[in-house]
Amino acid sequence: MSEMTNRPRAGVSTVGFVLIVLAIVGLGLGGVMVVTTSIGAQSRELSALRNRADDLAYESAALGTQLETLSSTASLALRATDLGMVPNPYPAFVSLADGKILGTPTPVEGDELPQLRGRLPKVTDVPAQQPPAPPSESPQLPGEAPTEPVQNPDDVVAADQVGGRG
Amino acid sequence: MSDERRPPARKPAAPRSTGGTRRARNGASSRTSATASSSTRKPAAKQRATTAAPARKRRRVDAPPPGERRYRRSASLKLASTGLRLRVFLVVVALLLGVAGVRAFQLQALDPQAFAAEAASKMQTTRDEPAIRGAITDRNGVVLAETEPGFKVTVDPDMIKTNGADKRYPMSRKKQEEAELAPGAVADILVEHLGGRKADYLEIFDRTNEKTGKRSRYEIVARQVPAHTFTQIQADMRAGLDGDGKRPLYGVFGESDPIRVYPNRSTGSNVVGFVNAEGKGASGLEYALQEQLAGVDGKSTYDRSTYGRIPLGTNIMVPAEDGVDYQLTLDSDLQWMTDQMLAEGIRNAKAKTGTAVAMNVHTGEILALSVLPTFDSSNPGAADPDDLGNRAVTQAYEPGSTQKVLTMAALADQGLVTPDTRVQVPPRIASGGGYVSDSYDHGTINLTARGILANSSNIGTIQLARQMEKGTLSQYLASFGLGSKSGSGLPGENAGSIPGKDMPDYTRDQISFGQGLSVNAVQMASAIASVVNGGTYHQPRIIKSATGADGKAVELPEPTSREVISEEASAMVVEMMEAVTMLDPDKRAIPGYRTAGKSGTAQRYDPKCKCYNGFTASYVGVAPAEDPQILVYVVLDQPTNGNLGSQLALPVVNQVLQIALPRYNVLPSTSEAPRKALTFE
Repeated sequence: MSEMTNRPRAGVSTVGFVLIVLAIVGLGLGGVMVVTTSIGAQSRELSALRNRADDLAYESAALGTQLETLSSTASLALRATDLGMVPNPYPAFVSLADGKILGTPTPVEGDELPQLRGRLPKVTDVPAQQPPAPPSESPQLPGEAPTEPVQNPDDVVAADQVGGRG
Repeated sequence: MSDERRPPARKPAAPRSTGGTRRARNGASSRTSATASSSTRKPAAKQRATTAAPARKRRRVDAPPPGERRYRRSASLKLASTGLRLRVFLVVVALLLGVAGVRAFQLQALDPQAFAAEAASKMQTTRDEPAIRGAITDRNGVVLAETEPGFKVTVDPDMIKTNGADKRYPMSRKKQEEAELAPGAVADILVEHLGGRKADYLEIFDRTNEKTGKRSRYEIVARQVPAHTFTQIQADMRAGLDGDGKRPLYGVFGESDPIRVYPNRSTGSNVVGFVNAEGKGASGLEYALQEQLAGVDGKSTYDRSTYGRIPLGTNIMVPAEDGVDYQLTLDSDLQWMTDQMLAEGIRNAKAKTGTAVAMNVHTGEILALSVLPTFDSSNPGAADPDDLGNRAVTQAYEPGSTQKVLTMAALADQGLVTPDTRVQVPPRIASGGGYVSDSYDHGTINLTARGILANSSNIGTIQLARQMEKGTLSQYLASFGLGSKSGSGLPGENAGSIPGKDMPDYTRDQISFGQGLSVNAVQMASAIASVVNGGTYHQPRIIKSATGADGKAVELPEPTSREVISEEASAMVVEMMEAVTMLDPDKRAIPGYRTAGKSGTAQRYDPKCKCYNGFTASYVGVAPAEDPQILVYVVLDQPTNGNLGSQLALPVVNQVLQIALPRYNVLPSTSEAPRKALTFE
């Protein structure tokens, strides 16, 4: 028989070639596996960190609320009263430019504005988790109806005896 | 032998040639006759047959002679026609591919979105990212209203009773022990963090679902639990029965339920308002600014499987737009102090309700707005529903003698009156069908305009007011802001009413001393502020600034300002008002500052009986008189312990001024208050 074609010489043997291809494929798959696994692991870590950040934000918010409640005016007034402080309605200023004193500094007796000294709260005001509630603002209003005699004018512009008090 | 034409199955020539060779011994031409073509054989065979012994039987030519090995003919495969088989095969394959192709077309070309969406929907979840509600703070940044993250704590009683056992398998003994201990342990955790009694929680765990009769799967335990508390509950649940996480507890869940917190409780609550159970504003600024405070919720779409979020899957997030933060003009410290002092005033006057407005006369900013009785914004249900609004703007009343300030201002601006204008005041004056008298009896007296205001003479005011056109007076009142909404930002404002220019004469007489028209407290305060600050009306404001979620300032509508009276007229009126204070400086003056004011005691119109029933005692004070900065206006409704504004409301005004003036760095007065003539000879 005659040779029809010239067979080229192969660089590696068939077996070798197969092994090389298998190695490349194996490496590729291995790389994919490593990347995917690490992504999965990082994603878990990210979730965990997010949860931690959320938890810390909640704690910060809770502390913030507590701080604001404690620094409310009523709460401060109560604390100031506990410390023995009293309000001073007598104005006196020190002019920082020249050190002059403006106004008349007057020592207080302690009874000037008693309604500004914080009072203890009523029992019904205090909820379970909060610090002592500030004093109740509603004054004790009497329920009785006015005892003024009823005036008669039928409408707003009644003419006689309208004597509005000055 | 290269005899190709011979069919291959046939025997080779050799045995025949044996026969042929034998026969050839007989004849010389046998070989040639054997190798000759079959066409020549017959004649040769015939020849041979005739030449050989005629008695021998005729034998098949290709049959081997007896004794020789016989070969069976091999089984012949019927070769099916390949063409047919191929065609059949092709048709079948074409059919299959055709079906596949049509299906592929159907899935991918006809309606791909629907199928993709269906597949995606099995994997994708969409979650709302709620927007954080805007905060409301006072002028110094003190928080009046804020949102704290919170949870609604729910339990699954079935899960608690079995401690999260998998229903598909029977419980092991260890699991059964856990299930015994679980409800008690969970109840202990809930008691520790939420309060309440253990027995109540155990009762919740025993609840059954009415429809199915089995143990309930969902029960709400507590609402508006701070998020930090909830994470502590979760941590304790995870720590489990022994506290080390080996036997965790199951069955407590949380749904987001943000808490609106009002750290200052009832301070400023009439202005700030409150939210309802869904977190929407129900009154006050929470209601008026609901849309801006609420912001816009976001959305987040992601892929998830049983094991959690798929890392590289769809991840679309529309961030939430948080609400706008508002800063008010209120000063919460001054507000609280005003509340206390007004409460004392109401108590002393035995009045029904009271209002106090503290305002910066040069800017119209409301520094304090006390409305008592008030409520706690975090617990509005505990208060009387009548107290949940803001009477300072919603309640209109007849102002009484404080209106004389505005009348005098109009007259002064017209040039008709100066503080020294002399008026002979009779004991009573005819007006409409009857007579108007003063609050104190007198004969005919000679009062200066200053004296008329100081003594609050109705008759004198009527006499002076009659010098002006009715239309002009009405115009002045409108320019002072009476009779129309002031647009301060507070919702539910009552515009009040003033008569028009075609009012009857007696109405003009009445409105000059403050009856026959209605105003609300903020309106009146702004009107008087416009008179004392040099003659410019500034629209009252409660909102100082607004900041968006991105930190940028949000534009607010510009407050309006307009000139209403001249500076000279303003100075004259303030001088007249100072005479009010100087009428009784021991009781009416405050240490360190010159003050000016005007009292009011008006009869109160009662719509129920359509008559005048009770009084409205009020006082307005401005300081320092030489250059007014701060105005305080106090109104006491239906006092029963007397009714004079100068007696009941004046002390409250003075107390507020004493606190407010140093607070805003107003320097004490350096000049003495003048004592000018109230009467003349």
